[in-house]
Amino acid sequence: MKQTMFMLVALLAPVHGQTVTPVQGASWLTHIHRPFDQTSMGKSSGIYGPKAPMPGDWPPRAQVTPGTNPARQRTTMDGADLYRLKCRPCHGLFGVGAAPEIHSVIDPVRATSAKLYVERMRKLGVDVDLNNATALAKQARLTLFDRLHKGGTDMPPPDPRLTDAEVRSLWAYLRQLAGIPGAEKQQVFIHEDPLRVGEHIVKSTCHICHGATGHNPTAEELLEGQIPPLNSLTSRLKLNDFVTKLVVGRPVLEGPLAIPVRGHMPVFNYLSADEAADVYSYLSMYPPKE
Amino acid sequence: MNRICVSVIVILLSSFASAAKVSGTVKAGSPSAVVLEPVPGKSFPASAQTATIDQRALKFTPSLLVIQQGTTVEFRNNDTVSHNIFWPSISGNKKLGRNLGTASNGQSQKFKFDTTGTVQILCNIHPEMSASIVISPSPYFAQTDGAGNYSIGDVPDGEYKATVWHGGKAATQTITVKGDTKADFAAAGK
Repeated sequence: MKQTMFMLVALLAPVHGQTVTPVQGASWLTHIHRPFDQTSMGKSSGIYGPKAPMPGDWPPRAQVTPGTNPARQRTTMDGADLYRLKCRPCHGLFGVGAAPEIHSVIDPVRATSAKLYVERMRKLGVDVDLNNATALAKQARLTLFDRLHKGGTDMPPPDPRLTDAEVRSLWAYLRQLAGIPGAEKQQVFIHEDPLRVGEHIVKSTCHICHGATGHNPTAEELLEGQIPPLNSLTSRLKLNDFVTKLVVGRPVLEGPLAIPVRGHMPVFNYLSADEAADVYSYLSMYPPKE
Repeated sequence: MNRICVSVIVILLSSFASAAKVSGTVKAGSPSAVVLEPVPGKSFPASAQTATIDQRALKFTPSLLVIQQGTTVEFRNNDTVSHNIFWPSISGNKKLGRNLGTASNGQSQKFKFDTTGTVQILCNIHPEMSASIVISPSPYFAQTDGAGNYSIGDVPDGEYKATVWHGGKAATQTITVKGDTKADFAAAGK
């Protein structure tokens, strides 16, 4: 028991240098000139969340109430949580992405294992030596870490910038996700502030489609496909409605007659109510900047 | 003056006579490659040409490239992600295996293939990516079109070892070229 506690404490790597900053600038989709309806998220628009209520039933009641953990100061997370907050909206639960728009993370991570490379070559009938395998694995690791730090042509750079502890934690989980033998025993736990959690979600998920600031669209403009800016969200919805919108979905008024419809936004049902509330807190305490 | 004219005509006629076309069909389909090697062996000056393999949407294009010995191949990354270019061997010779490293979008890597044989080009990061390069000892080679047809021009008359490559397999047979020659090939065997 003592040994287990000792190992747990040893794995709880402290997070240093967590500087929370406001989200700012245009959405990532605007940055790469890609319309929402041409994304994998946009193509499944209108299928998420509860069906639209009758106009007389508007506004719908909030379904989710956050704040079940009043002592929520800092939370302990592992790489799976970080992956969920930062990578999952695009790369999915299993990391395979949504071809051809979003690439899988599995093969690039597996490429970092010399052992898996040797196995792959053997299946091709090629007997390779371990020196070559190690060199290739090292290159793959450098390439992947470069991408984790800088992003890519279509992939946004990680924002907020990951701390060393966050990188180690995320990396450990990516290896587990990719099925690298033994990786499940090497998970790294970290502490995250609630506002940092909110920052992760906003910058890695919401900001893909929502710009930081801008005009708060009318019901008619929503029907035309305009996406509300992040600085309008806390004024558009109260906390409970906001959390409901994120984790179970909530209809929206659209069109010249402001009729309730299911809406275009995906539902992020893998976020907890507390995490959704962290998003609200973050957007309230760190107002988005132009 | 007349003698010079006659000589030129004779040279021209003789060159036309030797500029035969070898054509036919590879029944295995496309992409396939046909390489002719003179019998008995003859060496040719190394090519100074450049060929290109593109990387886009997690694919090498073309997936099969035939070049003459000495050709430099440029591997261009026009993809949204980085790719690693390597090959474990050339025709099974591991000493000729190379790892060109990783290139990101917009970068390219070059390599001069001085040895004849076949090369399987791979990306360590994306195992689904694969291309083959056939390095011919002679300038007499061609790739099939979509229907499996090929045509090799300017082949001197004589006996040739014809090798057809398809799907990583090769089959060889001897053909005799005498003027325009038709030679069909069945599926490559091994």
